Formats: sequence, C-alpha cells, structure tokens
Amino acid sequence: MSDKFVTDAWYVAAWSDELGPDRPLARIVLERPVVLYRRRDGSPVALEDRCIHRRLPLSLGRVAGDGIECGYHGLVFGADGRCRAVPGQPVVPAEARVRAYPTVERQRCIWIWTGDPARADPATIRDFPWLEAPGWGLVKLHARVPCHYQLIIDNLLDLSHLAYVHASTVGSRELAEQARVRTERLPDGVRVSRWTLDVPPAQTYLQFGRYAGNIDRWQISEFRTPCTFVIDNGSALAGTGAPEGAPGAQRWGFMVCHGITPETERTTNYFWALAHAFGADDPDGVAEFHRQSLQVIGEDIAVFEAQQRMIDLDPAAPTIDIGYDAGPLQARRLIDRLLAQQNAAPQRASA
Amino acid sequence: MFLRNHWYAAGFPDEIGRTLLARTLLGEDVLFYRRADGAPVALENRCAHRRLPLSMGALVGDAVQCGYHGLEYDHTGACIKIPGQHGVPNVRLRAYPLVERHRYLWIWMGDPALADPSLIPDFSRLDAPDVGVTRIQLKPDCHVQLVIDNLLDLSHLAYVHNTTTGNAALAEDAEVRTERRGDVVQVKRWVRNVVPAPTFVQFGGYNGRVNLWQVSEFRPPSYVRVSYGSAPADQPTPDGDDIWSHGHWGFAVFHGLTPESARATHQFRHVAHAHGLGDAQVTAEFYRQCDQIIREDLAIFAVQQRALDAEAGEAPPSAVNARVAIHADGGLLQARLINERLMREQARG
Repeated sequence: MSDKFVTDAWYVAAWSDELGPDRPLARIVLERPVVLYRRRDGSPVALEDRCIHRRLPLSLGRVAGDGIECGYHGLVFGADGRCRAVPGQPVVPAEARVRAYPTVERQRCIWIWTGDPARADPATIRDFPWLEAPGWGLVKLHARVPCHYQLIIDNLLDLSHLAYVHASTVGSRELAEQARVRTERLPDGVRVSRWTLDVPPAQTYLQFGRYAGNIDRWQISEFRTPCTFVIDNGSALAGTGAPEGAPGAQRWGFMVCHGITPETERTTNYFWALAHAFGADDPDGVAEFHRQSLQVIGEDIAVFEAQQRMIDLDPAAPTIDIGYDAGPLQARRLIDRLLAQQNAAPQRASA
Repeated sequence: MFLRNHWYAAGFPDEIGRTLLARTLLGEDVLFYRRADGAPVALENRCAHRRLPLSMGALVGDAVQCGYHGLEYDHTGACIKIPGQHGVPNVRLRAYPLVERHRYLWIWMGDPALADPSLIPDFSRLDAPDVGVTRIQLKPDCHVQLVIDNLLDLSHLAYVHNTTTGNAALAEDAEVRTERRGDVVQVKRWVRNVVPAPTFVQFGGYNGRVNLWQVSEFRPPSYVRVSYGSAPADQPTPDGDDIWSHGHWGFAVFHGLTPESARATHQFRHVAHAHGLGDAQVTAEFYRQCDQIIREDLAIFAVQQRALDAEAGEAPPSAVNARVAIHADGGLLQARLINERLMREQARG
C-alpha cells in the first residue's frame, strides 16, 4: 500500500509542544491514521489510530498508563500496539494489535518512521540544532496545507520567488534578476546556493540588519529526501568578504527548518520553524520580526493552495520549466528514484 | 460537458479595470483586466510555469506578471519575460475573445476563429435612453439548465413569488403557447381578467382587474429574456411582448447565464423598466422586489440540485430523463432538446 510516498523515512509528526501529557493527538501521516500520546515517562508513542475491534479512532479514547484505551468498548492497547485487555472477557485474542510506529523526540520535534521498523535508525533523523540553541529566538508554525507536498519542495528550492511573493518583507527584485545560483547534488539531497551581491537590502533586512548601504545576501537551501529542509538566510555589508567565505561585516540572518509530511496527495502537514541569534535585547523588535516571518509563510501557503486548486481544475494542463528549476527537478528525480526502488522491492506484510 | 462555441456573459463591463479579476467559466479559470487604453483582456488564469493563478500577480503596463516567479505575459498571452534567464520559450496562454455590448462582457469560450460578434444576443433594450435598469449578480448552486427551466415556466410565480409578482391565477388560468423558430424558443402566457399580484398593483396603479402577459425567450446556449406586461382588463392585450406602450405596465428581464461548473452557474441579470423613472423611492422599492424575487429562486435551485445529485450522480438534467413532464414544461423541454442536440453536434466535431 501507499506507494505514492517514500515510507522508509523519518517524518516530523508533530512539534513536541503539540503533544501534552494526557491527551492523545490524531494525525494522518502518509495516509496512515496515527495516534500520538506520551507514556508516563514522557516519551512519545505513535500507534495506528484505529481500534482493531470496531475501527473507532483510538485518539477518541484516553491515555491509560503507558497505553491507550479505546473510547468505544474499552480495549486497552500498550505502547507496542498489543491489546492488553478486552473488558468482560478473560482472554485477549492474539491478533488483537494495532500497528506501532517507531518514534523519536528530538530538537522540539516528534519524528515518526512510517516504513519497515527494522530499518528505523535514529541516526538518520535530520539535525535541527538551531531549534534548541541556547540564546536563540524561535518562531514556529504547524499548518495543514491543502496541497501536494511537492509544491512545497519546489518553493523552497527556488527562492527567487521571494522577489514576487514576499516583496514587502524579505524579497527584493534582485533576488530573481541577478542572483548567482549553484545547484549541487548531495548523496541524499540537493543544495541550492544563491548569492545576490551588492544590492539594496529588502525591507526586513534593512529593518533588522540596520544596514546603511548595500549588502551581499545568501540563501542556501538544503533539501534532504524525502522531505526536510534547512535554509540558511543571511547577509553582510557588501564587499566585506562573505561570498569568499569570510564572516563579513554586520552579519545578520536566520535559519529555517522545515519538516514536510504528506498527509494525502492533496494535503500536507507543514512544520516550519525559524531560529535567530539576534534580538535577545529587543523583544519588541523580535515580535515584529516574528510577525513578518509568519506573514511570509502565510503568503507561501496561499500560493500552495492556489496551485493545488489549479491542478485539481485541470490536472493535464501543460507546464514549462525554467532555468531556476534545476534544483526542484533534481529533488523530484531523487524522490522518484526512491519511490521506484521502494515499489520494486518485495511488499512487506507490515507496510 | 459545456457548449463551447458560443458567447457567454462573463460579467459586467465595470467589473474589470486596471486590477486583476479571476472568474471560473465553463470549468476554466479566466483572468480579466483592461489595458492602459481601456481594451478588455481575457486570458487563461494559470501561469505556464507552476500554475499559480495569474490573478495573484500584478499588472505591469499591459502585461501581467506572475506573483510567484515573475514570469510576464502580454495581452495576447505570449510569455515575454522570465526573470533571471535570457531566452523565453515559445509559451502562450490561451486568450479569449471578449466583447463589451449591451451592459455585458461577452466571452467566447470556443475556437477563437469562430468568434463572430454578430452572434451576441440582442439585448439592446438595455442601452435605450428611456429605460431604468437594475442589475444583480448571483451564483446559483445548480446546473444552468435548472435556471433556464425556471425562466421558461413562469407558472412558478404563483407559488415562489406570491408576495410580489405572483398569484394563483397565473398558474390556474393562463393560456400558454410555445413557439419555436429555429433554435429560438418563445413561451407566451396570457392571463385575462384577473386580480393583479401585489407588485402589479403597487407599481401599475391598478384598482381593478387586469390582463397579464409574460413572454420568455430562450436562445442557446443560455440566454433568456423575459417580458412581463399588464393592462386594464377592458383593454386589448398585445400578441407580442410589448410592455412599453402607453397604458401598459411591465418590465423586461435579461439573463446572461454562464456555467461555472456542472453544479454552479453565474447569473448576470438586468431588469429594464420605463415607468416611475422620476421617483427614486418608487424605483428603489421596485428594484428591491426584483432582487427579492431572484433570491427566492436561488433557494429553490440549490435544493433541486441536491436532489438531482442524490439520484443521478454526474448526469446533468436531461429532457430524456425528466420523470414527470407537465403541460407547462413544453418550452423548457424544447430548450433542453436544443442544447442536447448542440452537445451531440459538438461531440461529433
């Protein structure tokens, strides 16, 4: 089943702070209904969100110790998915179990492995150290976006769109017109580095970088299959060496981490977090910067919704690719290759 | 699914200007704007690159710039700029013929080579200097055929609009004649020597009985014109749809009906009248009643469509499967048969 998505992978299922101590959380991950909850020691659990008896979502039940109790007839399932108790009968059928997904909580994220549990290696989880870096500020968002996840990957690997979609904040015309763009294939991803040199700062950069003159600006977007990003956004005074690898003068910027988790072919759970080292002494400035950043992500989501609406209206309408699509197209090829490998492999009963 | 080689009402001319307007017509998203010299433009509302609706972009002179990556298209739909690259591929968005006439924007949704403006319906009464006009724009949640049905069987006034233009006599005592000339269907109804309905009493100034006539005219695919006339019962009634002569009171209604999808229809309606023009209070109340009437129909369309969806799935209302035809259905069945024949002809190519 579910050969539309890469399953042997870690996906962000939730932000850590979305999952409280008592309340189960329902989420669809790669078309699989999942219930998340915490054990008594706080560690997260992810189970198939469907009672094996009469299919009620377990998320409508309640957390019971380290297990979860179905809200219909009281069947209790342990954190391993095995049914521990069926009220009113002494014997629990051997086949009474729901699927349990490997889960890891790290760097403010709850990661879930949707594929073969035997291959779930936590060492392959994407590193988001900025999300818990001491002294850094953070603004984050979880949005359920009505679009295919590929539209989000396209967006993040071609940041020329800032010039048009985010023209009132982080975008300026030069980002589309005169950027030096380099696309590199990584073993399991794509890095698109964009340098735009000696240009007037965009509004947000002017306001918070407090530049008096032109800047050199970089946007380095690193995609890893199937669906995470780290994007380094920064700037320094023009001509002070940043493009050559020097720190540069009056350096300003922020890191954005993205977890893109397909829900269905038309909906995606999007986890977006922006971390910044500046502003510890300026809470009002930080609040305004966060507002602008949330505006930016809201503008992107409006684009995704509109694109998906147009796809649904006429899926066969032809499209073209342009020069800046080298990165997005490489990412598609990587995902297509993983899907082809996955779907060529013998089907596993547990998948 | 839709008849393509026809002019359809796309909206009202003053709806478009130097901003970008999107409207879905016949299942296609269309972008409207005016060039700097005022000429109206209708283009496919979908960037050829990543499909963003161009209506989310901006006008740059007479060109439209996509709001995602800045691709620009001129008013013919040709791509003229891709930021950050020198060459521009030979890419062209669909451009739709568009004409402003009789207070409507008319768009040609089929083969542009066949777009002959002389095929636009004659709604020229709306341009006459001696008439008052009110308009409304609605989107009934139904297949366009249900709206046409409604306008070709005006016996429903007796039940749906009985606080304004309808009373029982319109359904019970009407003489109905359906005439067909080519693909034009006219349904004429006369009701003689009856007590007039409230709107006719209020604005026609009648004390006693009246003669009433209603003429609905359908032209494919979905233009409908309806005249409502009245005169004192002791005066002769005209054979046609004359509502403008001295001693008569009435009004003429013009409908531009354009499918948005198989389940939603754009309805652009004008009402023209010649009486009471000098009295703003009178016209305001008359226009209010006109709008009330069309909203009463709107509620019916939505319920009908739900019932059709429940039983028929995807199939549009059809003359063939009409379960129960009553005598008043003669006109609307003709209209359905005409549109079904044209659909078959279109499918054959």
